[in-house]
Amino acid sequence: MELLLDRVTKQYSNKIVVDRITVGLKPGVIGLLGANGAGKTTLMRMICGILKPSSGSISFEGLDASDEMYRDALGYLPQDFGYYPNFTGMEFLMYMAALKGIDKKSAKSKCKGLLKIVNLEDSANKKIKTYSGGMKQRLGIAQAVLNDPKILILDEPTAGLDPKERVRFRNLIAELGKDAIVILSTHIVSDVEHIADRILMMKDGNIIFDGNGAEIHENLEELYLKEFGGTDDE
Amino acid sequence: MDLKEQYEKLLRYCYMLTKDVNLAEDIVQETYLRFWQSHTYKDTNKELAYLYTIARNLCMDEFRKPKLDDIEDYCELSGESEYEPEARIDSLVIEEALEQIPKDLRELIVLRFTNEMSVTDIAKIVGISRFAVHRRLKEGLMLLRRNIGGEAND
Amino acid sequence: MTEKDMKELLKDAYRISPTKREKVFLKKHEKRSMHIWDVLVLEFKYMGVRSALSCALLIFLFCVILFSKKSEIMWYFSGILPISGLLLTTGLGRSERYGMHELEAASRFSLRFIKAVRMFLLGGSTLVILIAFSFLLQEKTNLGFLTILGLVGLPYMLNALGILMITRRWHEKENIFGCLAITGVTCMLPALMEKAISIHVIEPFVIVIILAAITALTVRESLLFIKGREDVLWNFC
Repeated sequence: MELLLDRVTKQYSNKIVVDRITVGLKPGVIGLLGANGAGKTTLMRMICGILKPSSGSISFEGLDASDEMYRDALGYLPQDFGYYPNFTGMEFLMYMAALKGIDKKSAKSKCKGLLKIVNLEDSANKKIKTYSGGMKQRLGIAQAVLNDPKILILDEPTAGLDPKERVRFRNLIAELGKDAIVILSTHIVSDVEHIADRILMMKDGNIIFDGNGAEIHENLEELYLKEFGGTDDE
Repeated sequence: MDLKEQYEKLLRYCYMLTKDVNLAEDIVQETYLRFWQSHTYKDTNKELAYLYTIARNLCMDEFRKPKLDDIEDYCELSGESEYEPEARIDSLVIEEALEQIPKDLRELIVLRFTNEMSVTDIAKIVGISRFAVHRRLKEGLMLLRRNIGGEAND
Repeated sequence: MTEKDMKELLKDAYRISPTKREKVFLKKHEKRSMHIWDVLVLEFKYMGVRSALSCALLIFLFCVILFSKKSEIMWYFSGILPISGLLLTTGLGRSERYGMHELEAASRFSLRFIKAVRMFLLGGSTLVILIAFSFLLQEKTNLGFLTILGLVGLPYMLNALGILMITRRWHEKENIFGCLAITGVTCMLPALMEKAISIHVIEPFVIVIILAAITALTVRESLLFIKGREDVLWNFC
């Protein structure tokens, strides 16, 4: 089971945002690090099949990213997502379940189960308006795993969470990484250090580092600061 | 092959091995769930050998479990399930004849001619060479024919 | 028995009729391809309040026209119809307005498909309504069917075009004000048209031609809306 990216490129007018990225991803947690503007989010959107690469291809088990069945094996938690007004947590999950092609009966039990796992059981029938940032994020992860995805894309999933929730999230992600390809995009090095089996670092649309946890250790923080420390003033 | 057809074929194979419809169905469903843990839905048609291997191993596990000593009692009990296989005179004839040939030959014949699997896949599932599959199929068919011929003459 | 016959029989060996358990399992796990009907129902459900209001308004109009004897009723209808249009078409930009577009785009039903379905629901129902009302109005006025279609349809179509253009370019929640403005203007159009026709500045058939042109533009705008523009939608970061 492998997600294959072959010379994936995204170009807007004169700017190349993602530059011929070629990589094969197997089940486990893959940390994607990089500053804003490095092309992370664009790459993730292409992997999700919602943005079309300018050139190159993305495929999984013979399915191209533009295939309906590819998206069927996918779960996505965007950095910032909204919700239709007056949606309760349960309604939101049921709507997403419908969009993912899950029939109503299975959806109901699945949604209830997931809400329990992310500790939102009590707030399931409350409006999302009333949710805290952490609660909303947990709801987001619940919808991402509704269809038992083989590929899970999480864009800054722990941003805005308090330390305790962050730890809970990490454990959940590590668990998901056992059977699925989990791509975790984040600024927070410590998140990735603890749970990633593999780390990809992006800069200016290229992967400048590709290694597994054992190779990195303390050097990760150093490397990250070295590469990205100065980009704040860009 | 759609899921329904594939499921039913797999069920027949497991029934042939276990002689218990409910148990066979348990195994079939368990097989699919295990298969889908590491494969996508679309693979189900492409990795038939692996799917059947899981099922076969589960059936074998059942035989290794401590069971009733008296096989006949067990068969009677399993017959208690409120569901009967379609009774058709012709298929009974073939099934009886199949039961009379050695187990391993029977398995190969069912995989090849009932489940219509390729020799390559069968070799993978059972763990023998393709050459051995061909040879045993031939042997099995010959025995089968003799048995059926015997029936017809009765 | 020949080997051939035997092989035939083997095909039926150990055959079992489908059990209840099988049906349950297959129902749960069988992935069928998406049916348009499923999405239609889904989207219709979520258009909720707006569609209900719109329907109520239309039924009201229907009754008024049915029982009215005045021929001016056509102009009133033409003036009120865009409001119904506003109610329905503002549903189009929902995904972007509420930030659900990314989630919808990554789901099995892509965002494009959902938008296409919404447009189909709206466009289809509108056409049916226009035709139905035009027939009805034929009796009240002494104008031809096409003429009525033109006179009633023009403000509506202009309204739809305006709303689409705004929704496509302006993604914030505030775009609703733009839509209201457009509707306000197009509601007053019938009065102008009536005046213009009564003093023979324009012939009715000209209006029909204008309607055809506006419809073509609206269709184009709809297709572009469904397609979406990546670089407008996603600010790369």
